[in-house]
Amino acid sequence: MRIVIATVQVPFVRGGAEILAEGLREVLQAQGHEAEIVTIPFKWYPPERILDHMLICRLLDLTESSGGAVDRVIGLKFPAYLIPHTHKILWILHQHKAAYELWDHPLNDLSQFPNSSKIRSAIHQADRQCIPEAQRIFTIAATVSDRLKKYCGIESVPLYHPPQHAEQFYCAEAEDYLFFPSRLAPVKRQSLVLEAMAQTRHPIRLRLAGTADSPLYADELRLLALKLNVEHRVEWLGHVTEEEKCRCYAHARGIIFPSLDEDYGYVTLEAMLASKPVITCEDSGGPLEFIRDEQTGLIAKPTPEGLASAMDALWSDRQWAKELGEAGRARYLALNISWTDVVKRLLS
Amino acid sequence: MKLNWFSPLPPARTGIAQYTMGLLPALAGRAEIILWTDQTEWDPMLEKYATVRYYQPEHMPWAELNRSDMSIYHIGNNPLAHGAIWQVSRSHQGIVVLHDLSLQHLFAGLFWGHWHARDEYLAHMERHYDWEGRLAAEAFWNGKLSTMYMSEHYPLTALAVQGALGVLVHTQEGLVGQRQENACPVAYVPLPYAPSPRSHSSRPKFGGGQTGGPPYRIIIFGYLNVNRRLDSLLQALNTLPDGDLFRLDIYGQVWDREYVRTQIQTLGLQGVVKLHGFVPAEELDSALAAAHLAVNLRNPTMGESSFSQLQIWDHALPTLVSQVAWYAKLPENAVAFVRSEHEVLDIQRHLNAFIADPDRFSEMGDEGRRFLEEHHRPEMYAEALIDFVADAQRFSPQAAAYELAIRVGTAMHGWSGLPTPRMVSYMWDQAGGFRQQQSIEQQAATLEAIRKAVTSHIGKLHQQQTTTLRELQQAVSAQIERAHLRPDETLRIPLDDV
Repeated sequence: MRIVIATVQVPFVRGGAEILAEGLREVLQAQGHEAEIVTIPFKWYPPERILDHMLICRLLDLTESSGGAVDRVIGLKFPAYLIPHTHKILWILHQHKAAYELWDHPLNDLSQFPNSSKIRSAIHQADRQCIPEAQRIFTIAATVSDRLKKYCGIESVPLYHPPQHAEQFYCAEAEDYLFFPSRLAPVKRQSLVLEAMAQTRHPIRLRLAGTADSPLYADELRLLALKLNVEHRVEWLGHVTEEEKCRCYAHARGIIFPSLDEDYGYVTLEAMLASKPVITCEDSGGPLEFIRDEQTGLIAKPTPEGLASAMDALWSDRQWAKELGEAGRARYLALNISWTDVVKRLLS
Repeated sequence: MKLNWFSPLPPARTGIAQYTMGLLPALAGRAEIILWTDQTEWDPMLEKYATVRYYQPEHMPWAELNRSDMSIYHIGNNPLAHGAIWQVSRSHQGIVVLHDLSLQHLFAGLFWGHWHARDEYLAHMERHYDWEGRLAAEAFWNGKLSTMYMSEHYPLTALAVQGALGVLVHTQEGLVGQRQENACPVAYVPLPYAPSPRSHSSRPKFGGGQTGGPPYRIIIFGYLNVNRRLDSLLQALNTLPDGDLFRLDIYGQVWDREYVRTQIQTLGLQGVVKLHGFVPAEELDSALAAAHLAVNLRNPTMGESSFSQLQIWDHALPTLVSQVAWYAKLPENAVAFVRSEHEVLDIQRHLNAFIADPDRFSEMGDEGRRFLEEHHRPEMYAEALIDFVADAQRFSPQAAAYELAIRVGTAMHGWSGLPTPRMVSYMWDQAGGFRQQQSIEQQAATLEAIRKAVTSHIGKLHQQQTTTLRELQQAVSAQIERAHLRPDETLRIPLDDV
């Protein structure tokens, strides 16, 4: 089959969505399909630009290419999933979050614009009308499906996929640090972890991997660590290679992932593959589909006190941390998450 | 439901502030209300029903506004009371409640009086009325046309509702007119008024001395511009044989206090007429309670319904009203009509009738009070408003799409050569019509209304402005000739030529 994977990308920004699209293309090609990623550049400000992109997507014709039919279009991201096609399948990473679950959140930039209410209503309307055009609707996680149902009344099926290089994760003797791999961004809540560090009873050490969305934010975090007098217990690794990342997972006492309302959260799955317990928060979204409190990790209140208490608990009992991590890996294996299954269900 | 409510608030001296105060108890039972104000003081009673937030239009907390379900903007002709409201409504669209249907006074007051923004004013006038509007605006700016003339011929109301998600009016005429001009939902709801608890039957019968008169007290109040016809009323009293049976109390702000004072002296009415100026609400209330007759004329009208009229009926007062627009549709047994072309004659006729049979006028006041209680209940208004919010919310994505269509039209201008509005209008027409479809009967009624409006407009133009128009036409022709332009090409005629 000739299959187009339709998505959008913010130029010069690469993240999980791009990795997922490439992973899907790779496995489709490996199974003998002709697969191509069609990416629309996306800019979300000022808000009216979002409507421009929606229109662009609706005007695209992907029914055929160079005289040959395109058999399937797999839509991943807003507004690329609005592209019309007779045999469209959606595997939604997330809707336009700023118009939905983040609308009331202080971190939302869309609602800071005076004309955003009607843009938001147009996004809702387009989603409600165009998503059901698809033959089948999948999402990458139950969290995304729940939102789709809650905001648009549309049913969908969660379809998990493995993180990139899943086979490379391993477990080794735990050293004295907690690991927090994520890009440095307000929604990832590194600042909350630093505030928690200032309240822990144990001299917990923290390693953060990932680069900042904006250099200014990285500086803010460093200043905060200084202000809270925890800078000597914090190590900023910046960008790390895949190999370094796997090593950091392997030797960590546990993984911290308190991100706000994640869609899926590769970090959770990577930690489970590395047999490491995960500390996440009650409002972290995707990770809560995998982490069972005190079985495969700890679920804390999204406050410095709540997080500090969970970090202390994990730090003070090395054996318990190990057991939670092993239970996490067992749970991952039990879920039978594989690309083969993903492709089979997408094209069924 | 949570609503942002932009309105003048008490103690501001405007009927719209009183309207908000009167409506609030009914509204607060149905929605959470945030009252946004640029006033530095407000009646603490308001906070019993709503949260009050101070704002400056240049520093709006948009995210906070966006967290409400709808913003509701009250627009009238007072630039001080409505300037900031209009500014916010331009950026953050919502429902516009039109308290006047001709808003030239507002915009002339803002652009000319407050901001001294000539170019912007001319651009708006040109956008809404083409080159003719620009010429008129230039003439107005240079003092050659009056605000009253501009208001009548170039109401500029479209500028107030541009981009609105809904328009709410208080008159049937407003409903027809606004539906013609707007793609967004338009609703008509009679102006609300919370009647005072006192019983109207407690008013003493007129006549028979003491509080029942004579002398009979006539009251006129509010912002008394020329169109409130005080001149005609003074003339009528002056030449009425039994004029000394009446006393006229004038409350509020007259357009030219010195002129009015001189007129009173010249006509020898010092013993009959008293100018009170603005007084506290309680004092005005007492004056209304003590009055026997109210005068509430408009010529020309701004097309609005009158909050003052509801206030008058609250006191079960008979009223002389102009037989125009909203006033002309009032029940005949609740008011006495004054024809605009026979003002003095009609006022005198009614005053004579009053002297002959005061009880008939007393019944007229009672009927007015009954009408008020039946048709202007705040609960009815609040209910309709909440329903209308849902209509406006449904229109919201269409409004966004309409703006997108304008951007698309602009983007295509490069190769289509068509002006953006024409391109947009074509797109919508091809798509099956953006506007709500009207039935054949509605269309016929609309066409008839348009025909009448055009006939009346042409008649007025001939009557009042023949000279000015001729001069304008001559100037335009001369300019066309000089510039060798076709009439449909854009013209920029220096005012000196006019």
